[in-house]
Amino acid sequence: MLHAVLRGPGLVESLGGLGPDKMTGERMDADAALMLQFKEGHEEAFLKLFAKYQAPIINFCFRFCSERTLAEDLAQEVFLRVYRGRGRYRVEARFSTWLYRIAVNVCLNETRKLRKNYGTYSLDQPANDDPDSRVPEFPDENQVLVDDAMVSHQRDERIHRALQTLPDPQRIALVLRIYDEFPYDEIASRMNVSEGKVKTLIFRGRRRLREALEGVL
Amino acid sequence: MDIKKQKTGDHVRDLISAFMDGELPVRQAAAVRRHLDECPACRKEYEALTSVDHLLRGVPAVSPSADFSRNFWKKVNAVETRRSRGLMGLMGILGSWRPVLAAASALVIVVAGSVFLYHSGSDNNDPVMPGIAENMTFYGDYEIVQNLELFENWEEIASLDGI
Repeated sequence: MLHAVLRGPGLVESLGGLGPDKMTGERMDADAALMLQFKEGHEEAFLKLFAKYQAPIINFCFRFCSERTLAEDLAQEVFLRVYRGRGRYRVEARFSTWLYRIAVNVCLNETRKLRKNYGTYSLDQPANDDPDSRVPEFPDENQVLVDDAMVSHQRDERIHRALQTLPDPQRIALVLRIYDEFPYDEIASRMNVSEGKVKTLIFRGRRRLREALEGVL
Repeated sequence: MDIKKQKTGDHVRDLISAFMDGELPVRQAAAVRRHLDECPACRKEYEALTSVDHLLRGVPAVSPSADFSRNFWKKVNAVETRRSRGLMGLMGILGSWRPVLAAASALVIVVAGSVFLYHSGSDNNDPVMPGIAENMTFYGDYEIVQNLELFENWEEIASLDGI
């Protein structure tokens, strides 16, 4: 059966038994094979996919929304859709393409819904303005390290804030390109748009970020 | 912008982003590279956009929290429980209609069987499939026919074995 067609590092040659899937007879990635095993009832195959992709998907969501807890909720929603959608799964593209397409949809459609569960905060404002509750500052020999960490943290916050100023499609295209290093054709598949559109989205996103990060560059 | 224009000194700002990503055809990429060597304005743009990429890549990745997996499986269980409750609810609704459904099924079987046997017996003299009027003993072997009078009482019909 499916196990018998596993060949080579990370690739599977499909020899049949996969139904009318488009990739039947072509080379299929190992993750798609795992997903098919899960579809057949092997839950351990899902566990492997979950372990492999949880960090990349959380980070994709985090870079999209800039909120850690929300990012984990979004990522859980992505895997929930994979879990529940196993019966309808067909190998029509690489597994990761399918997974990221779900992640893009979840980020675009669920963020507003899920964000209501969290208190909104402004990145422009300090976390706590109450002077009585400020932690007193004592300079010590580690102060330089602490300062470095603070500068680094503030810079990261500024970058997250700048990313949030981009329209959703520009942000998604840029995140997929810069962090996940996908080529334009794969980004186009994941976003369900043309390659030309991806090129424009990334170009405009970079220019906009350049303006937003003027003082940091 | 085509390559000819770029060679004559036009700026290549629109192509810099795709150039950075290695997404231009070889000849076009070579033309952009040559232009960047000669044009300070475009080179400045290229350096600024490259710095943006460096800044973005410098933001550290996050690791899944300790609760991520546990919370995910909680959600899976909640969804599966909701789903099975929904199925049970549907079965409950169907169950409350059971007497009516049973009676309707029995009626359909009897009517369809009668029509079939009537037609098959009307134009031949097959001794194995006789007509309705002459062969009530044949139909009488079926329990539902023996209890036709119970159609006036749904509860009793529903309690018949096999329905």
